[in-house]
Amino acid sequence: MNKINFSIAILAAGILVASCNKLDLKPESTFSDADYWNTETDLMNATNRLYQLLPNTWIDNRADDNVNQGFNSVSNGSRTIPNTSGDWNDRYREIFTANNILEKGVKANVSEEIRNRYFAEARFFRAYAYFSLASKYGDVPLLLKTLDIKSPELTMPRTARAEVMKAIYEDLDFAATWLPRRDQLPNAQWGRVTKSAAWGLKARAALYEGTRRKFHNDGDWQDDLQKAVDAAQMVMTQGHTLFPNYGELFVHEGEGPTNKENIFVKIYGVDNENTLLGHNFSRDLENGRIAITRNLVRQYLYTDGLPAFNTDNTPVANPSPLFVAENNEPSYNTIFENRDPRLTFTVFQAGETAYKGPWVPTTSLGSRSAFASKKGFNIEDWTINSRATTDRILMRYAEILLIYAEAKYELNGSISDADLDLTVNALRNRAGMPVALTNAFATANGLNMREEIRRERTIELALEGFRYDDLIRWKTDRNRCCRKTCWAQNLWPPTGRAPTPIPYG
Amino acid sequence: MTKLLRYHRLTNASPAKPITTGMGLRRHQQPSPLLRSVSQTKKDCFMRISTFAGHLKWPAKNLLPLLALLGLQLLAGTAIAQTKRVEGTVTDGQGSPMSGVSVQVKNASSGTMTNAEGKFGLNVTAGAVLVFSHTGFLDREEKVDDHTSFIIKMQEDPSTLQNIVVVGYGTQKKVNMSGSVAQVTGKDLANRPVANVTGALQGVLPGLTVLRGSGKPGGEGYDIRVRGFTSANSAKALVLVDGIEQDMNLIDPSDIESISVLKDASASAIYGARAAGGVILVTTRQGSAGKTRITLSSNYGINITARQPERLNSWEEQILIDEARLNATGAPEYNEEQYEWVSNPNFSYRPNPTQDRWEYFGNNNWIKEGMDKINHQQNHSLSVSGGDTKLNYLVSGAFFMRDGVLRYGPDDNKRTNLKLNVNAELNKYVSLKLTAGYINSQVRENAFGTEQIINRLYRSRARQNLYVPAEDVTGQPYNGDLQINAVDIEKNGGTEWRNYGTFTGRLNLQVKNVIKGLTLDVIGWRNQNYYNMENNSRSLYWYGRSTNTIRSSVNVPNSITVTKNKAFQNNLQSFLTYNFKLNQHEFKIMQGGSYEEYRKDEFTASAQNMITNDFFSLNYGDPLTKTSADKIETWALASLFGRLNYNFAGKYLFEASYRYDGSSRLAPSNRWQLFPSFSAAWRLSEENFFRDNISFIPNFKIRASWGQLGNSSALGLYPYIPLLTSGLTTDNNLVFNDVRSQYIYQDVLASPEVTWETVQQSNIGIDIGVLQNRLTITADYYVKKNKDMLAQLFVPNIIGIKTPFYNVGELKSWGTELDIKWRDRVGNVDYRIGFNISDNQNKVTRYDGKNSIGTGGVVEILEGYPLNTVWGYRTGGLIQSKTDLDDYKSKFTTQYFNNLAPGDMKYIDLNGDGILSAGDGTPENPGDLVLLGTTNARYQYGFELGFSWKGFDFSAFLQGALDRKFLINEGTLSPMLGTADMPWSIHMDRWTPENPNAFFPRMYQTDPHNFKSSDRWAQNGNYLRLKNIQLGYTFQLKKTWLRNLQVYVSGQDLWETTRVLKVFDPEVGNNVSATTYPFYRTVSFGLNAAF
Repeated sequence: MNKINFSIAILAAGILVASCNKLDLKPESTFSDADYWNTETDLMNATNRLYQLLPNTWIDNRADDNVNQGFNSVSNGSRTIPNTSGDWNDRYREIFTANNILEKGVKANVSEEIRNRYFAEARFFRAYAYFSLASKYGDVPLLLKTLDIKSPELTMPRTARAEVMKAIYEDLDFAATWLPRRDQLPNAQWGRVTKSAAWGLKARAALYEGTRRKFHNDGDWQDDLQKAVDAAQMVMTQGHTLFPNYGELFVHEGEGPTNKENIFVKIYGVDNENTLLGHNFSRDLENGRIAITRNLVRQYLYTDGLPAFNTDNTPVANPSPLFVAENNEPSYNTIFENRDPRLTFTVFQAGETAYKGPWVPTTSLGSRSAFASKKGFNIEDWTINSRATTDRILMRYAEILLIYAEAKYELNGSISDADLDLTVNALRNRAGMPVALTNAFATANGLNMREEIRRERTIELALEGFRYDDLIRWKTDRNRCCRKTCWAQNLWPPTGRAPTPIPYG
Repeated sequence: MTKLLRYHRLTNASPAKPITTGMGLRRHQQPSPLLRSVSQTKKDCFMRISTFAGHLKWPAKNLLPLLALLGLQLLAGTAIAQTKRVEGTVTDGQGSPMSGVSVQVKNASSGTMTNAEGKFGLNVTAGAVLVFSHTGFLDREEKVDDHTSFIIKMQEDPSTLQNIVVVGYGTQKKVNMSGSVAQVTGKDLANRPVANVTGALQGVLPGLTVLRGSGKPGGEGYDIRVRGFTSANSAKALVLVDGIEQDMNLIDPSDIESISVLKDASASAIYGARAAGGVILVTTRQGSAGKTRITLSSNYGINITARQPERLNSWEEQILIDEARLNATGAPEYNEEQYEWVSNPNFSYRPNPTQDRWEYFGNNNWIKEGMDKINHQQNHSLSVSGGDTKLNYLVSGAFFMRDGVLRYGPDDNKRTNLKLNVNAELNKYVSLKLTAGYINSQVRENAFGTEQIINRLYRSRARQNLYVPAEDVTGQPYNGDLQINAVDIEKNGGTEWRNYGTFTGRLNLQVKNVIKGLTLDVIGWRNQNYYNMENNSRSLYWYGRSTNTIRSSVNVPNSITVTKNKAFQNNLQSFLTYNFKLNQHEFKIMQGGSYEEYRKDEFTASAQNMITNDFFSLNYGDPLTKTSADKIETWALASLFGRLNYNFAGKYLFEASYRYDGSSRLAPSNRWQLFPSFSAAWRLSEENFFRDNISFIPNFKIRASWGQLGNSSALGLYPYIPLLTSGLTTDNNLVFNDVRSQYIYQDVLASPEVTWETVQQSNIGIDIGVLQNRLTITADYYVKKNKDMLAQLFVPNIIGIKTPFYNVGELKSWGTELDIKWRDRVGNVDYRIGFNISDNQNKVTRYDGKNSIGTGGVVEILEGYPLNTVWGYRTGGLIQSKTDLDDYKSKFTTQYFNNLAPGDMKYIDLNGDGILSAGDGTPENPGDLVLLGTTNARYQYGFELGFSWKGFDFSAFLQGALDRKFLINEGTLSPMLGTADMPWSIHMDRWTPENPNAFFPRMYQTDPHNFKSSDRWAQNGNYLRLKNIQLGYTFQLKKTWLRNLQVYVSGQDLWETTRVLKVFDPEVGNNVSATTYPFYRTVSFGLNAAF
């Protein structure tokens, strides 16, 4: 009896004593940060997060070139300050991720070259995020390190944009030093950034900043424009060429490293049987979320190389003889006749096989402008909702050429025919536009070279998300009213544009 | 005795000191854990363990001398005095023999129990006094003197005042309780046709709120809240079924013996860090000595769908569509000819002239096609018990099943329960109690998701015929031209089944009376469970006129998803209980410790593109699409706990308890915390002055308590460790080189300093019994304060990462509870009336998070306000005319909607600034928003009436809630916000010039401007509901083999009164939408038999 009691008591005490060392439990199916950051694989997987976070939407309805089913609040001037905004939060999330890699990657036991390759990727993405912030908000808090919940920097004021731009340039210079050349990148790594992407982004940011300073009278702009020229020139040494077919550039045919026009691409899945990562761009086109406006259509030249409208949407004094007066066209398709071929690669003609069948112009929910966007439409992508897999180009060689042309022109006030051939005419040539732009042609026909360079940019890069930023930096946004529309609607009330106010959060 | 006293002094003094001093010091000395190196952490850990071991040693250390003492006692304790044999029979008031009555010799350890015939035999000394006791009966004492045989008639306790209440780690007489505990017995819940125990508890106990979210079989979403909100985070009540932590929803209702709800801190602090949400102790039926008994209870119920939307005919629907289109776009969808087609019953389709598809003009009531109004449920249980006082057992089994509303395909829940309980007295001192159980619950539903199917049945176009035309050649008989076909999905969309099984076992070894009054319990239990889920999604395509055109599709590609997990929870505990009495001072002391650990290991895998739509296995999917993931969750909790009860002459009661918990969830430096409680009560009715003067009140007790409790539900498992997420476990894929690629990131910052939410609760209460306790009243007032409420820390978003939960809030919650019962007999009618009401309010007194009301709607946490406040605009009816419109518009400098017209809502610009706005989104400047209420009802009440006459018994139970507001999902309330979602019959009452007093504004498609959160749309959630009504008849039986037979008819949720929009049940949660599974009314028939 005594024994039983005794053993029970011992058991009771034993249970309790034994339990004490079992409170230090470690997560068993989740990595702890302290155990990470050792190998090249660790660095690569951490950096991969930046590619995953890379924004994947191209619907930009803020400008005058396209319209959604309803009006964009920036476009019609009704935008109010939101509580929080992905445009803000998501960028700072990317910045945190990059800063975190730069801080913790120091621990990794790898060669400096490998470390710097991934640091270069991190700094590229940090610059990419800051440029996106600066172009949207102007001055933004510049954080080059991670914060914790008690950091005083959490309530820091906005940093002057010049300083932000400086940080962007520095990041990109570092990135360009350590990233591989395009031709050194193994095909298996296709999609990772290269020297071209770093210089290309620098050229893009520098052109933006240079022209913005110039047209907003914000001081020294030459320096930025020189940077744009230099960076664009560096990209031009990387063996890029234009893809031969403008129409196929934006669908599956234009994917992959064999298309040497691609510089920076967001990679989507394999096909709609095996999506992995899909988007809905072709369905969005069908649903009229990116309906081209009459205003954009007017920008396209006629096959004689002459316009009918200025880029500010005013009619030119002597329009091309091929121009048919608006509202007087015998048919809808008259609009597409004798135009820069890029127009018919960008907009569906009536009767052309479009989303579900022949395109019938309508201003119903499908298209608020009666124009149907074609650029990037792919029937295979359209078939099943959200399972489109065409990779999306975020930067291509054509843009670099246009940056070079514009930066050269704005820096010097003129551009040589040689440079025009290298840039504008190369693009026209690829698209099958029969007339080249030369200084002589411009003079002979009373064309303004700046206008024509801008026009070239607008139509070449139409619907690729550049238009709003272009209007801002050119300071032409206030004049962009297209009230007289035939097939389109009034899209641009003359309200003043200011940089987007930063969200409260 | 003196030795014993010294022992107790020792034990009671020692726990507090080392805990507070040792731990307190340590906490201050700790540098921030972030700064510490790994080796330091290890060292700390060791020190901490040894400190803890120190705490643990003292009970062990003291056990040894104690046991030595026990031995001595044993040697010395054998009887010397002269004994004789006495025998007798014990009967109840009606003269029937009572088994299992305890017969104890007063002030001695010897005793016995009556057998099945009510007989007992015992050897006693001549001067002894026998004490007869049994639950529910008054104790009775008889002097032995020279009697040798007794016939004892036990008297039923009229007020159940003597009842034993189950409390943490023991039981207590109700009269001696100083804390607030409410208890119901299985009898009170009997014969209710509900899916589970939780449902039966609704409204029964004051302070216990039972919420349900849906009528879905197995997905009723029952939620229990004890005394309102304890935290903005989840603060689930700790539910222990026979001491094992378990899901109460899985217990067989007919197996319930009693349910105790420990409401105040004094009652629940013994459960420390997990007690803040309240503690519910469920006791199931146990074996007892006596003849073998078999009980059967069987019940079959019919469920009738209640309160759901009604569809319109297609031509009525078209009227609303066209009004909405006309108003929004200027053009209706249909011309007169098409309108004629849709209303013509003989013309229901035609080939589309321009496209490869049919055009439909039918009239299809999707609800009728896809849902059954009447469904079935049944519950059967059988139990067998028997044995003698030395060894007795109870085995029970139950089967429950319920069908749901979907007409085709699986939509049901089945549950099987098995339980074995064995009690064995190994010898005079050692007894053993074994409980083993197995429960299996299976839910089957459509792979596409039942709620999504319901949503389509409620809102698909009525003119879309169910079937394609007879001449269709695509081979797909169902029509999915305009929208997916919900009936086809019901039949052919595939199946998801979820199976949850749990094995529980508990062994309780008890040593008692080695020293009189001292009991040692050693308990081990394990809850081992497994979960299997398999979803087989079949692809469905609907075509145009040829298979070249796919009009719509679901579940593309087809896929299989499998989740399996195994989990266990182990608990080892032991505690000593010691009762002793010194003159009029009565003490009860309990001290124990426990260790509990949990581990869940889960595996999930999926594959797509099966080789056929009719065979699903991971082996046949496309290898590129296969995914797999595992998840392991662990936690452990070590605890010391103790309690002291003191009772002076039954007048003054005092109780103190503590629990000292250490959890694996917290960083070593914050790991341990003490949760103390104190309570006292004064039984005035035991005082002479009271007894002499106010004799009609035999019971009057005043209680007061204070204590601290912890809440760890919101902590997470490893919140102090920075963790990295693998991209392969998320839905966001990264693709390189056509392959899904890995990426790794930290999603949320770690919070090394986080600690439990500490909830401090004070309670005062009275218990009154009047007129021989025919009238009993219990009333309580309490204040709870959550001092360290966890909330997501709000910092500017430039931090770039999700912030963790921190102890940044403070919530005060207070309320009163009242429970009144009257029970009497008039002639041969026994009747009872009961009423209970509870009032609970709360206020967030501190919140360092984001204090924003946004643009209205329901705001979860807001400093200075209750949780879940509803903010919205004030409205002034509908705009009636052009003049009215101009007048209304002239009040605004900026229009909130460009296309306002007669029939639209008039929101009031309260602050007169010419803009309808939410100000800056703060409660200080809410613009035109006002506080409309909160989504949690302030008052909950229940009303019970019952009587029995001869064999009949009747009871009715009403339950309700008051002062609640909630919102309906905007997309559901607003017809055609999405052009694919159809309006309901309620929407016919919309504004037109001919119907100016309409409830709904004019139709308008795609814009919700008329349905902003406002006083017009916030639902008044008050309701009163006939929860249960039943009539039973118990046959008067002479047969010996059939001891009891009762038949009954019982109705659940048969009637209610409320102002909630008639398509929704008043019990639904906030933001209820068209996907909500409807609730139902039940009529059931049952019988209870005992053999």
